[in-house]
Amino acid sequence: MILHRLEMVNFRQFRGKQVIEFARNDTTPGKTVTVVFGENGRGKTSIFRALIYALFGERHIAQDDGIPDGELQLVNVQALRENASHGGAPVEAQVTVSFAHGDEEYKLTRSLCALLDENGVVREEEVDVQLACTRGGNTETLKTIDKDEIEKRVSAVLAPGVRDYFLFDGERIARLTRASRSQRREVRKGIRNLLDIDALEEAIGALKKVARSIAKDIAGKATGELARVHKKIMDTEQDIDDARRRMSELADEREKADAEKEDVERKLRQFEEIKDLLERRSELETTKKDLKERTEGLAVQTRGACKKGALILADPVIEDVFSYIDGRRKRGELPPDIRADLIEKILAEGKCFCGACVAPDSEAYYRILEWKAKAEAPDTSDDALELWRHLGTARTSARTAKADVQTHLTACATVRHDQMVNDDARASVDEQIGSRGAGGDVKKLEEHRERIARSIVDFAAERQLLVQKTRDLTTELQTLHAERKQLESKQNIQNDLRQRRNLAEAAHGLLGDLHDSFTRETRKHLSESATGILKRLLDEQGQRSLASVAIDEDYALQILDLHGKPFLANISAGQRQLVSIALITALAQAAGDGNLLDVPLFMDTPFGRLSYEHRKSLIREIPRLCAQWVLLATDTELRKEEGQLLLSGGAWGRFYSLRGQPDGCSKIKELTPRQSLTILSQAELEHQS
Amino acid sequence: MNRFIEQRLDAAPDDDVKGVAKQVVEMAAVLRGQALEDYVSNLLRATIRKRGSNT
Repeated sequence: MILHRLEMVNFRQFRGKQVIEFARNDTTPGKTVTVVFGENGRGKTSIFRALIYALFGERHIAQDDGIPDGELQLVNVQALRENASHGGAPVEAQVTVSFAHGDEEYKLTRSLCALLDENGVVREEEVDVQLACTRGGNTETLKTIDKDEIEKRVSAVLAPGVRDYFLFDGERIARLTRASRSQRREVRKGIRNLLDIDALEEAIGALKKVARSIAKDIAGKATGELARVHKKIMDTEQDIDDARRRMSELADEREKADAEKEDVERKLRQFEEIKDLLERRSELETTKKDLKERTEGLAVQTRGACKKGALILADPVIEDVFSYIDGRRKRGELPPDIRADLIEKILAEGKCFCGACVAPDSEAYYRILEWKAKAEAPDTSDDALELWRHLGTARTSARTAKADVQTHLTACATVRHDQMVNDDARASVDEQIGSRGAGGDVKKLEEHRERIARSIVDFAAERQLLVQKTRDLTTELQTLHAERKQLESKQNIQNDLRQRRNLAEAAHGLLGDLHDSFTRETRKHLSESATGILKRLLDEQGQRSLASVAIDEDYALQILDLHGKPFLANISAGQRQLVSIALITALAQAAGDGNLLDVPLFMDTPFGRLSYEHRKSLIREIPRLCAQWVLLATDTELRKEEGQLLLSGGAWGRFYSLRGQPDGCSKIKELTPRQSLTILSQAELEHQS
Repeated sequence: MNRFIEQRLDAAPDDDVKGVAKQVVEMAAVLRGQALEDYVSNLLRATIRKRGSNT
């Protein structure tokens, strides 16, 4: 597939008709690089989106993670607003991609219609799809009703499993180097698709089925020794199938176990990273428990103290009454504690018990008489004094109870404050731990990892046994085939059925051998080729540390260091991008049978993560490794230096600049090399300032 | 068809076996499942018939 032209009408930022003609070898020999240059938001990714939409009808691209379908508008918003302000006529948008594949030329157009309703909501739908296919001057046109056929034709040109290798966001392509199972599957799927291994395996499967079916018919008619051999062959084939099926199941189980082990190890690594936080959380949990126990103890004590609540409540009254009586007692309004009979005795004897004389009419005599008068109400006086004494006791108790409750309440407030501090601290630690802490405790995880590791060892051992069993059965089957041939030859049996069976078995055997050698050699070739390309793309430092690219039986990609040790986990994001590009271009070479595969390398944000040295290598090497290179670059990644490199390399074909318009839309303008370099210089200066 | 596969098939000694293998691989890119098996059955029949008529 070679891209010829992309035409957009009212698509995303592009209002009206905007066109990009792609540089290609058949019109400008050797000049196969097209650059689309623009600042952020000018529409580079919209061009990528337009291509994906036109080819596959997909509105979303990989970087749209999580954007709901309804929020993504393909039709130009300015055109919609303008139409809405002039009566609300719908806006038509269109994307047309023209490309060639082999000797066929294709023109694929998708049309959309959108309307801005009175609530400001955009309603958008695809209204037409047309594919015109021209071969030898004859044009066949497929329309919307043939949508499935259109999809099939486009897939035949660029299979969905392959397209992500060639049309991609430069910063995301590094995913090919991630070691997870799903990524390995992706690499495997891409390689198999590109190299037609699927078709080869389909052919092998169909031949085997037909050969077995004919053999079964023949066996049904055989007698004697030949019947026994037929039966033995069918049983052996069944045993081989069973062994292979079990191997396939084991591979699936192994894959699941590996994925689970990866997950557990990831969690354990996270635990290691948050070990201190987990210890802190554990301490806080212990403190929380202590505080809870203290709260419960204090609650019991406070409840006990509150039993004297009535006393505390009555305390102001007790205090008032006590103070009142005490005041009167102090003022002498309440009789001292002298008995009336004693007063009578003093008055009768005229002498105090201290020996002083109490003569009638003396001051002391009258004082004694006053006492006597007061003592005439002895019950009241005694009761008042008795009350005073009790109130004194109650007052002391109330004060003690009040102090106790006060102490307990203060302690409760302190504990409550400590609990709040503890809650905040735990919330903060939990936040720091976040989702990393989810997934059980370390000990359980370690035990789980051990169990998985044991299962993996068991799977490998069982697989080894099955591999040996399959080998033995295959040898046995060959012996049985020879025996069958001998018996049939002896009996001079050579009918049509047997000839067909023999032919099917021979073709099956031929393709089976071919498959084994093809996949083995392809992997070897891909590894060597990707290593060679990677060496040319890496800077000196990278070349010193990375020795080779290895693709194992499972098509897992690995980078080996100079000592042959896996090194993939240690390489940078930029190096991963280069490894992925090395693999893609090696694949393109393998699929192109040594020639450049006719597929464009369409890269959005091609140099985002790359250092200048790596950019230089890409600019130097990629035009030699792929048939067409389209770069959607921004001012921070494509500067005058990179522009001059492209120009001096001779592969620079076309340069387009995306220019922002006052209404927020963008226009595509093609520039000459001189103009392009000026634009790049200006952008660089603006960027620096 | 991939050039590697084609070259290896071309190197096979028996023309009938080679022819059948090649055609089945080519059709496998287009057909799948029962349709491909039917194609294989018919191809085998036709090849044997042709072989018979040649001898």
